[in-house]
Amino acid sequence: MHSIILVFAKKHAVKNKLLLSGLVIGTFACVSDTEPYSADDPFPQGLHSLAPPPGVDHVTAGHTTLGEVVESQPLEFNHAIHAGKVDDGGMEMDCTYCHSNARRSASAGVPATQVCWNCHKSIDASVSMNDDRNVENEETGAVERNASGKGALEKLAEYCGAAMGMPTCTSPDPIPWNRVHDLPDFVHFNHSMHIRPGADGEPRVECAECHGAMEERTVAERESSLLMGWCLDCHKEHPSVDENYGTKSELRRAELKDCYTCHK
Amino acid sequence: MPKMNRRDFFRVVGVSGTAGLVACDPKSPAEQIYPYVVQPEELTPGIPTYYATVADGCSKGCSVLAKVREGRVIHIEANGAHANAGVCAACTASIQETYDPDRAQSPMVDGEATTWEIAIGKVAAAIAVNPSSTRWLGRYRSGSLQSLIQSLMAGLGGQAAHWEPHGHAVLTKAANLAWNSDAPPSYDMSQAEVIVSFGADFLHTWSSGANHCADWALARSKKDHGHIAHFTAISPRVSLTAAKSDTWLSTRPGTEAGVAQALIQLVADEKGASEAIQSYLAGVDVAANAQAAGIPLEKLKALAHSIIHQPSVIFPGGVSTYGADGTDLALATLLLNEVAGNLGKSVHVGGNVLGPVHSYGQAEAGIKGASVLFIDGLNPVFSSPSGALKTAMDSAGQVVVFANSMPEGMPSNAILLPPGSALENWGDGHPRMGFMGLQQPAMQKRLDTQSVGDSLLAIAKHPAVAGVFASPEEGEEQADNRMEAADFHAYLKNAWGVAHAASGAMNSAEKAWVSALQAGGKAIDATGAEVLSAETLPAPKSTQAIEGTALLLFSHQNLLDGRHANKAWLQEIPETLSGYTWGTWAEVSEATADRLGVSNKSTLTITSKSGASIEAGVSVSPGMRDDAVAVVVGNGHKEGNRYAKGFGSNPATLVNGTRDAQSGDVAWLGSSVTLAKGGEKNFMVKQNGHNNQDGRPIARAAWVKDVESTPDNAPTGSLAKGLGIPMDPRIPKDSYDMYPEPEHPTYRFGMSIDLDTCTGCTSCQVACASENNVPIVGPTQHRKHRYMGWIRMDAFWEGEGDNPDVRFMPVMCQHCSHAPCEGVCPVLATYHNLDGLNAMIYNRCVGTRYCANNCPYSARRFNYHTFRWPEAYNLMLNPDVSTREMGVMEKCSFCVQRIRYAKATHRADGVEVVPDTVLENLPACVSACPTGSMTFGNLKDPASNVSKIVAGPRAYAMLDSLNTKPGVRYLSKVVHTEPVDPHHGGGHSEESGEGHGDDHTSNENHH
Repeated sequence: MHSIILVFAKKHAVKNKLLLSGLVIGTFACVSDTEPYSADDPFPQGLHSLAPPPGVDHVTAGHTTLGEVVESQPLEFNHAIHAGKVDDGGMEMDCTYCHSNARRSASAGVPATQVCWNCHKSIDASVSMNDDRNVENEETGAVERNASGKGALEKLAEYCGAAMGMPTCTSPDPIPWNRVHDLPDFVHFNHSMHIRPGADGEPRVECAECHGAMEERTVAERESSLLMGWCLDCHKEHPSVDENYGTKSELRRAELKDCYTCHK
Repeated sequence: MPKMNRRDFFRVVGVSGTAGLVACDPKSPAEQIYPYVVQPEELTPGIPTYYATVADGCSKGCSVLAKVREGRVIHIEANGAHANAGVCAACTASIQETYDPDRAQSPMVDGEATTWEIAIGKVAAAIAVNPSSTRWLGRYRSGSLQSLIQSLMAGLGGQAAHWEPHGHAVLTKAANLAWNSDAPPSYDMSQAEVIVSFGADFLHTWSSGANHCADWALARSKKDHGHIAHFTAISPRVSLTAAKSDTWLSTRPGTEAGVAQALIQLVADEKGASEAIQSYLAGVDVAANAQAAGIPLEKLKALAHSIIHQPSVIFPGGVSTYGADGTDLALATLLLNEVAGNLGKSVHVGGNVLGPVHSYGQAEAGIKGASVLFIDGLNPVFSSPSGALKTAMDSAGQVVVFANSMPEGMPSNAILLPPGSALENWGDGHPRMGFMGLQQPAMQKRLDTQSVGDSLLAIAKHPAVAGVFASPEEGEEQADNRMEAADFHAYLKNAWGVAHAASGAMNSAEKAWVSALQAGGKAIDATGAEVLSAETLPAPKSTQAIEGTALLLFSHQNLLDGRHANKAWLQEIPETLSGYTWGTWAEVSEATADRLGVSNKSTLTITSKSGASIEAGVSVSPGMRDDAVAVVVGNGHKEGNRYAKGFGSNPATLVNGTRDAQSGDVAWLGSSVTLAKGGEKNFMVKQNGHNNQDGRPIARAAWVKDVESTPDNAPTGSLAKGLGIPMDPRIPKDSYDMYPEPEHPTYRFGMSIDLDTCTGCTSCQVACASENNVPIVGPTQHRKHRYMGWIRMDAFWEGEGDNPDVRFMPVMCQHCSHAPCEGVCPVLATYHNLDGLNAMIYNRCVGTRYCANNCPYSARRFNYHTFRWPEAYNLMLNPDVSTREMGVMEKCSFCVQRIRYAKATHRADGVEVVPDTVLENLPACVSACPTGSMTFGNLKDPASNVSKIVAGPRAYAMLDSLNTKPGVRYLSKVVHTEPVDPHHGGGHSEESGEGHGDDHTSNENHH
C-alpha cells in the first residue's frame, strides 16, 4: 500500500514530505490505539486517540468515526407494535411518549426501564399475542407456546427486577442497549431544537426524517448516513425554515450552515 | 514543478492519510447506551442541574453553585443570588478534590484499607483508654461542625486547638488586646477612599479574597462616590495585592509596626485619641520610626493627611504580621483604624467569624501528651517550622487523620478517615458577616468516604465512647443531646431548626430549611460585636530591623499554605507576578540578582542559620528590597497525590523556632538567611518571560484626575490613549481594511475587561480550564513553553520606585473582525462566523500552525500531543466541549457551547435573541470573575451593557494600530501618578492609531 502511494506521489511530483506526513500520521494512529498509559501518570498523553484507551471514558478521547452497524439488541424491543398504525396492529404511540427527553434536551435518550414497566407491570407475557414466545399454529390456528428462549417481556421483567404487578423496578443494572445512532463526539446535535413545534404546531422535523419509519420495524436500524453532508443537506433545504422564519429564512439558513452550529 | 492547486493537494494528502488509516479499523467499536432504571425526577440527560452549596477553597466557605451533568459535578459557578460576584480560583478548582485520582478510597488502618465500622471502632477503643487526654488539632471551622467538635471534645474532657499556618492568631490576639474581641475584625473597603495595607495580601490569600475583590471593584469605581480609592501598600515586598497599589512604601523588614505607630500619632495629633491610646503613644517617636523603616517622613505625613480627611480602611496581616513583633503591628493597625474613626464603618469588630483561632504556640502546647490526637484538614509536619510538630505526632498514642490522603510525617499506625470533598457532604459556614452558607451534597459520594461530622457522630455513639458522656463529672459540661442525631445531616438540620426558632421567623422551620437549600444559605444578624476599647494597652516595642537578609515567607496565590497543591489546575496556572508553575521560587531584587550572578533562568540556594537549605527558582522582582528574599510556601510536599508530591521545596524548613512574643504564633518572617547561586539550569517553570511593555501601549493607563473629571459619555478611548503606531501615510484612510467588513446580522459578541479592577487572581483561567477541558500538561511541557491555557495573565511593571504600577491583563482570543489568523489557514478551519466569533473547528485543522504564528496576541495553543486525563479526572470533563487531539490548534471560543445552549433554551421558549441579562455573565471566565471586571454581550445591541462599556472613555482595543477590530476591549487602568508617555514626555498623546512614534519597531507589517 505504501509503495503505491509513493509511486503516486512521484507521478504527481509532489514534495514527498507532504505526502509522507499524511502517511506517517495515519500509521501512528494505528500504533497508539494499542498504546496504554500508566495509571499513575500525572500527565498522560498519546500520539493520537482514535479509540479510547481501556478504562477511559469515551468523552476523553476524540471519537472520529461513526460506530459499527448494530446487528442486535439485548432485548428485542418491537417498535412496530408500539408506534405502528392501529390498522397494522400497532398502538400509534408518539415517539416522545417514551423518548421524552427529546422534547426538552439535546439528548433524546432511551427510556428508563421504569418507563417500560409502568405499562408492562400489568401486561402478562404469557397471555399476550405479541409475546414472541407465543406462535400461531399454522394448521390449527391456535396460540401455542414456543418454549425455547426468553421472550422480550420476560427479559424486561428480569432487567426491571420486579414481579408482575409490582410497581417499581428494583434492579441495579440498566438494559445495555447497543447504540444505533452514534455521532462523533466533536458534534453537538440537539433533538429538542429539531422536533420543537413550528408555526403549524407540528414538529419542525419529524423523527422519521432522520430515523426512518420506526413504526414499521422492530429493532432500530441506522437509516441515514449521519455524515456531515447529510446534515447540511437539510440545513440548506429543509422547508421548515421557510415556514417558520419567513423573510428571515435566508439568515436562518446562513446560521444553520455555520460550522459552530454543530461542531463543538 | 507542475502546478498543484489546493484541491489536488488535499486529494493527495487525503488518500495517503486514509491509506494509513485503512490498515487499522476506522470504525469505532459500537457504544452502549445505559439508560436509568428509574430516572430521577430532577435529572434530564443533557441538561445541567445546579445545586447551591458551599465550596471549601479556604476556611471561609463561600456560597457557590455546583453544575451537575448526569450526576457528576463538572463546574463551579458563582452563586449570583447570594454573596459573591464571582468565585475564587481555589473554589473553582475544588472539583479536583472530588476527582483527585489518588485520594483514599476507604478508611485506612495501619496502612491497609478497611471498613468504616472497623476504623471507627478502633478510634473509639483508643479514646476509651483515657478520654480526657483526647486532643484535636484542626483548621478553623465555623458553624455546625465547629459546635459538634466542641461538644465532642467537651464531652470527652479533651481539648481542641484550631490553627492554620498562615492564619489569624496574631490578629485575633491584637483584637483581644484592643477591643476585648475574640475574633478578628472584618473589613469592608467598598466605601473607602484611602486603602492602606501593612503587608496583607487581602485580595488573594489573606482572609476572604473573593469578598475583598468585590469590595475592591466598588472602591475603584467612581459610580458610588465620585472618587477612585487610593491604595498604599506598606511592606518590604510587592505582593500580588501590593502590585495593585498606587503607592508602595518599602519598609525594612521588621519595622512596619513602627510605621503604623507613627501613623497613629500623626492621625491622633489631628483627630484626638482615647486615653489608652494616648498613653500607648507616649514613647512613639514619629521621625525615628520613619527613619528606621527607611520611609521619608513627608510621605508618612501625606498618608496621615489623607487618612484624616477621607474615609479609609487599614489592613494588617500577611507577611508583615508573621514576624517576631507581629502582634505589635497588628495592634497598631487596629488602633490606627480606631483613631481614624473606621470602627463600624469599614472595620467591623468581631466580624470575621472563623470559630476559635489559636496560635501555633497554643496548638503545640495543647496537643502534648495526647492519647488520641485528631488532625483535621491540616498538614502539621509540612506546615510547622522545620517540621517541629513531628515530635507531637510521634508522642501521641494514636493519631487519627481526617484527610483525603495521608499527610506527611505521620506515624505508621495513624488511622486515616477520608472525609471526601465538600461537594459530597453536608455542612455550613460563615463566608462573611451577615450570611450563613448551607452546604449540601451536589453529587453522590465517589468513594467510600464519610464526612468529618458523620465520623464524629459515629465515634460519639460508639458503645466504647458513649459511656463517657453518661457521667457529667467527666467532662466540663453535659454532652450535647444533639449528638444522638442519626447522621450529620440530621444534626445540621436540627441546628438550623433551633436557630430558626430562636430567630422568631414566621414560616415553618422546614420551609426555611428548603429555601436556604435553594439559595445556598440565609441572611443572619449582621451587627458586629460591641466595641469595648481596652483601658490599657501594651506599650509598643522599639522597632528593630532584621539584620542580614531577611526571609519572608508568603502563601502561594492559589495553593495557599500548600493545602491545594494536590489540584493540578492550581499548580498548572502560572502565578501572576512571577509566572512560575509547578514549583517553588524565591523573589530577589535586581541588585541582589546581580550580586549573586543569578537571573530568572537560574536557581538559588537559600541556607538558614541552622544550616537547613532549599533550592528555589529565581524571580527577579522590581518589587523586592535588597535586604530581603521572599520565598513562596505551598510546594515541596513529600506525601500527597501525584500533583503535590515531588514539586519544589518547602521553605518552612528554613524557619527557626522564633515566635511572635504576644500571640505565640510562628514568626514566618525574620529568619536571617544566606543566599548563594544554585544550579545552572532552572529546574522550575516560568511562563511569562517578560514583564515590560517596552513602551508599547498594550496595557494602558489613565490618570485618576482625568478619569474623575471626564464624563462617562466622553468619546470612546479618550482616556485610553496609546502611543499611536502609524499607518503608512501613502495608504488612504478608507483603504486600511484589506478584508471586507464581516456581516453580523444578529449578534457581534464582545467582551470588556477592566484593567483597573482586575486583580490578577487567575480565577478566570481556572474557570476556563474547567469549562473548556483545557488539558493539564505538566512541567515538562511547560519548560518547552507549551502552556495550554486559553487565557494568559500578563503582568507588566510600568512604575518605578514607590509607584509599582503593575498592570494585570488577561489575554484570550480577541475574536477579531479582521483576524490575521483566518486568512492564513489553508483549510478554513478557523473563520469569522455570523455571531462575530472567531470560530475554530478542531477536526478540520491540519496543524500547520500558521494561524498561531500570525496571531499578534499569541492567543492560540497547539496540541503537541494528545493530552489525556488520568482516571477520575476524566469524570470532570465538560461533555459539551470536544477534547482536542495531537496536531490541532485550539483557543478561546467565548464559550460557544454556553452561547449555543442559551440560544437553544431561549428559542425553545420562543425568544429568538438571547437577552443581555443572560449574555452579560455567560462565558465561564466572566461568571467566575470575583471583581466583575469582565462583561460579555452583544456589541450589535447598543443597549447592551458591554456596548455601553466599550463606548466609554477608558475603552480601547489592544494593538489597535493593527486594525484587527477585536471583539475584546480593555478599559485602561486608573493610576494616581500621571502617566508619562515615553515618546512625548507628557501624559497626553495624539489620537490612537494616528500618533507619531515613527521610531517604534514593534510592528512593521502593515500593508
